[in-house]
Parts: sequence; C-alpha cells; structure tokens
Amino acid sequence: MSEPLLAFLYFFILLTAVVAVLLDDLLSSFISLSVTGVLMATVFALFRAPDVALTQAIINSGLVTSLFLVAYSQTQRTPSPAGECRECPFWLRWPGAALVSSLFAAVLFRGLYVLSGDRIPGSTSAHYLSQTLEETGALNVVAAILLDYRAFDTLGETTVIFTAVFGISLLLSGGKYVHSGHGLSFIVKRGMALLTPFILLYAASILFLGHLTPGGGFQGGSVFATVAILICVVYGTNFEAARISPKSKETFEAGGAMLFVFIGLLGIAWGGGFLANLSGPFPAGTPGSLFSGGNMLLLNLAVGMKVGAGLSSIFYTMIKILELEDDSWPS
Amino acid sequence: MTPLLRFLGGISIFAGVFFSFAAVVAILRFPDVYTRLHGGTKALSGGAILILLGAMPYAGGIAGALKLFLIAVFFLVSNPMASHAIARACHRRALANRPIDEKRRGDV
Repeated sequence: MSEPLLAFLYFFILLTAVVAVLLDDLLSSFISLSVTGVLMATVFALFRAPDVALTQAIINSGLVTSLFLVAYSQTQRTPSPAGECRECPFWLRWPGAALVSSLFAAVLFRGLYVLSGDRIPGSTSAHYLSQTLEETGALNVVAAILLDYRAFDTLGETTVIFTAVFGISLLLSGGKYVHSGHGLSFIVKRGMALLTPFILLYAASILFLGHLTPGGGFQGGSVFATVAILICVVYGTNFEAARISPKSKETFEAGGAMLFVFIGLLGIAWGGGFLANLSGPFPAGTPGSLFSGGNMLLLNLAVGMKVGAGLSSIFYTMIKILELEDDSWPS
Repeated sequence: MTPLLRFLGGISIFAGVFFSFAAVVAILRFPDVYTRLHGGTKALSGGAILILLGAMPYAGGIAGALKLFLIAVFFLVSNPMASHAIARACHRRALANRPIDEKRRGDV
C-alpha cells in the first residue's frame, strides 16, 4: 500500500468535495462530485475492495451524475441569485464542507490501519474468509456474503429500488409525451452502435461471473441500465421506447423480484429455510466454474434484472418529462 | 528484450504525461469553446493513449498488455465522439465563438 498516493487521493477527494459545496453553479458542482466519485473508487480499489470500487464508479460517477443532470435541466441553474442565500452564507458553507470531508477522510485513513491489522480469530470476518468456499462454493467472498449469508438483506435492498421506481413513475407519469429528441449526430449514433455490443458483453460478464470475480447483479444491472440511458440520449427516447418498451422493462423488473422470492421459497420447500443455498436444493458445483456457488448465479440474474430495468425506467421517466417541455430542438 | 521494452515504455509514459499537461494548459488558457475542445481532445487522447501503451510492458504478461491495448482502442473511439457531440451542441446553441471569460463576466 503506497501511502503517498493515498494521501494525494485523499487531498483531492477533500478538495473536490469542498469545491462541490462551494460552487454556485450546479452543473460545475455535479462535475466536481463525479470527480470525487472516481477518486473514491480508486481509493476503494487500492484498499483491495474491487466490488465496492466497481459499484462506486458505476453508480456515483455514471448513473447518479446523469440523473442529477436530468434533474438539473428541469430546474433553475443556480440555487438562488448570488447574495440572496440567507440561510446558509458562504463563510458557513466552507467550514461545514471542510468538516464533513475531513471526517470522512479520517475514517478512510483509519480503514488503512484496520485493514493492515491482524484478524481476530473467531470473529465474523475471519470465519467468512476461511469458510466461504466450503460453505457456499463461491470464490468471491463479497458475493457470498451478499447472496448467501445476508441474502435476505439483499432482498430488502432491491425492494428499495423497486419502491423508488414505483414512486418516481407515479410522481412523473402525468403527461403522455408527444415529442422526442432526434438524438445526436450520425457520427455519435454510429459510434454508439459500434460500442454497444462491447458494453453489453461487459455487463453480462460482470453479472454472470459475479460469484467468481468482483461484480455481481447490482453492478451488472447498472451497466445494462447505462446502455439504455445512452440509447435514450444518443438516439432519442422514442427510439429507445420502440426498441425496449417500458412495458417490457416493468416485466423484467417484476420478473427479477419474483425470481428472487421464488428461489427463496424453493429453499423453504426443500426444508432448508428461506433463501437456503447449499443446505437447500442447489448443488455446490466445481469451485471456479460458471455453475458453482449454488443459487448465486440465479440470484445475481434476479438482482441484475431488477436493478437494470429499474434504473433505466427511472431515467426514461425523468427524461420523458424533460423532452415534453423542450420540444424546440432543431433536427 | 524486456529492459528495452520497459525503457521505451518509460519514454512513452513521459511523452503521455507531457501531452496531458499540455491538454490541461490548453483547456485553461485557450479563449473559446472550439480551441479548448481542440486542445483537450487531441492532446488528451494522445496523452492517455501514450500512457496506456507505455504501461503495456509493465502490465506483466500478454493478457494485461492486451487489456491496456483494448482500453487504448476504446479511448480512441469514445473520446473524439464525445468531443464531436460537445462541439455540435455548442454550435447549435451558438455558444461557440463567444470568448468564455467574457461570458463568465456577463453572468456575474
């Protein structure tokens, strides 16, 4: 672990976080925040947490920034005219931002020393690290914890996304859109067509190899959603809706949820308890092959379906409203 | 063979760092959107690709080097495309030939 590099990264995380709070222009704040996200993904990768790094890079720097940008296009550019922000003056924002960021940096620095310390024998983490392969058949310990030991929590987490999609669709489904953007130029469309198969392959590899390598359903589903978002932006929403209809997204999302619960119920039917893996009907397989780790491949698929369809339909719903208002775009 | 390749890789990384630095200077100092995009795209594509190619001998094995090469190819595809989209959007909104500093002064 190279500490000068980490100190450099922490300094820039602090700097970009403070800049994001201090800037009056929201667009610049978003860009600064996404830089913070990339730097934090690098820090996570240096801490040998590639799963978290992948999630951080995809979610924070890709999806959250694009959702922020859509929200930004529908609101006014600056929070309030300069000098009128009474409740939170400039001199108060600066120490607040510095305090929060330095607390966070202190937590990260602490993690450096906790990680390099000895593991207490008999603790949960020591048990996970030594017994995972035997108990679940998965090579990726993080995936084993998310989808085997703590699979019920994962069900809860994906339900949160499900609820968010429902809420946003209910709130924003007021008007039926008439106009759609014509998309970007021919060059960008062709280039996007060239890149799409590779992005899809990458997403599929993250999703289906989640129990062997860093990644999993959540990250793979997010990359799938990124493809849908790129198609929305590059080709226009009408094209996207014609190719991947909103109905089929709903079907995919509900199908993912039902697949997850069905796998859990299979465990009960076998007598192993809800979401039972190897004690249930699922074989362990050879460690390292695609069909190993019991139900983890199926659970990754379920989570990926749910997350991918959910995030892309959130973006679609939000950008649809945007294009309803902004129909004066020349072709 | 390997020491020679590593030496060439080091030279390539240094050239890449120089071009990236030139890109930063160009983005900060050039007067309007088109010239900034020009500096940013050309120097940054060249810089990033040179750094990736220079890292190839250090990647440890053919697989790592091939990965870096693929990243360079995707960079070569995506970066000009993005700048093209930005330039076109600026052209449409007629922002392009306005000096940036003047615009900023006008906002404040």
